[in-house]
Amino acid sequence: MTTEHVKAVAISESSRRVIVAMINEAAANASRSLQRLTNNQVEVGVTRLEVGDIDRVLPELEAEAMVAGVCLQITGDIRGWALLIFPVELANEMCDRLLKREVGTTSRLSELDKSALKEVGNILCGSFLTGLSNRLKIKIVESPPEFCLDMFGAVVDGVLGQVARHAESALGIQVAFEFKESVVAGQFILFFGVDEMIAVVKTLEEVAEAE
Amino acid sequence: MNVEVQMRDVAVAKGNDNLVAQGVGSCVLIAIHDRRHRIGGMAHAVLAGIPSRGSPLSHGKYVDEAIDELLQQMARMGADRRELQAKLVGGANMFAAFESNLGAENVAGARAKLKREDIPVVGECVGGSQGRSVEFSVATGIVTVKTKF
Repeated sequence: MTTEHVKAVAISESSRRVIVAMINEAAANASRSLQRLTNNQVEVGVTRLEVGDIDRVLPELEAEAMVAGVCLQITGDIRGWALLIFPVELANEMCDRLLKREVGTTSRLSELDKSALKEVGNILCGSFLTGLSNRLKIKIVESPPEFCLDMFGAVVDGVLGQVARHAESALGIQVAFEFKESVVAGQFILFFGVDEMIAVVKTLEEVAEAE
Repeated sequence: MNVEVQMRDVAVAKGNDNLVAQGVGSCVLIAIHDRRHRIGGMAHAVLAGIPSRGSPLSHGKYVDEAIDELLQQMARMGADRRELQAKLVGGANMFAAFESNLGAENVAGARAKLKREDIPVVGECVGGSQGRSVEFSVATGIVTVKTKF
């Protein structure tokens, strides 16, 4: 990432505040959907928004920690990637809740469990992006979800590679979903490249002016 | 001593050190060894080819410049170009439905670059859909690959 890139995509404090407020609103929508699905109280954790190197927004997990990842590509008026990450213990617990089993039953994810987690990703991401799309008044399309159960480093590098292919610098958004009855949190990460970031900021400024 | 080679990093070591990388998916690890001088180097590249725009901080992100950087660092440490042999690890396709298979492109890019540099590839553990962790013993040239499932 060059300094020129950073300057070209610098966003103002006011735009940053608007983005964070918008993300929190979309995240609240998504967490309500997740709460209904899992019958477990969900709280939206701290939202982090990073502009710059694409890996700065990643959660602090061990590279070898086993996680369940659900990834969706975003197309339409903006292009990006959404990645939902659950530590494997939380993924097992969520499957128990989703499939009405006693919590603690699952120790290995079946195909049905993986489908259920993909559906969680679909609903969560859909709910989130709908909020974003309505707020920005732009068209956002999400791909079918893809599932992967592997080491955290391996799950994220596939996505980071895709982002890096299109952009040297990115807007990264991280939202933690904390479940009341669980000790571990899930992470929802969105990446938009430089060009997409400029489009988002421009639209935000238009929205702010209209208000 | 273990020297960690994170994404986009290039590192070289000598003697009894190990070069390690954890949780590698579609990235490709290029491990190059000079057995006679017990010098080894490893690059952790994210994308094949060369960058489309200038970026002074992106050494190691692209396969070609990662290998160039690695060869320069190894030469500075005293490696003999004629003794070098390479091993490749990684290049998995973690999410099958992505429009491009970055992993396969990365491996093909690394093979092509090494061929141009006239460095033989003597071992590979590449492709598939599983992440890998790697330990490269600079003393012996042995590369140990670990998967989790």
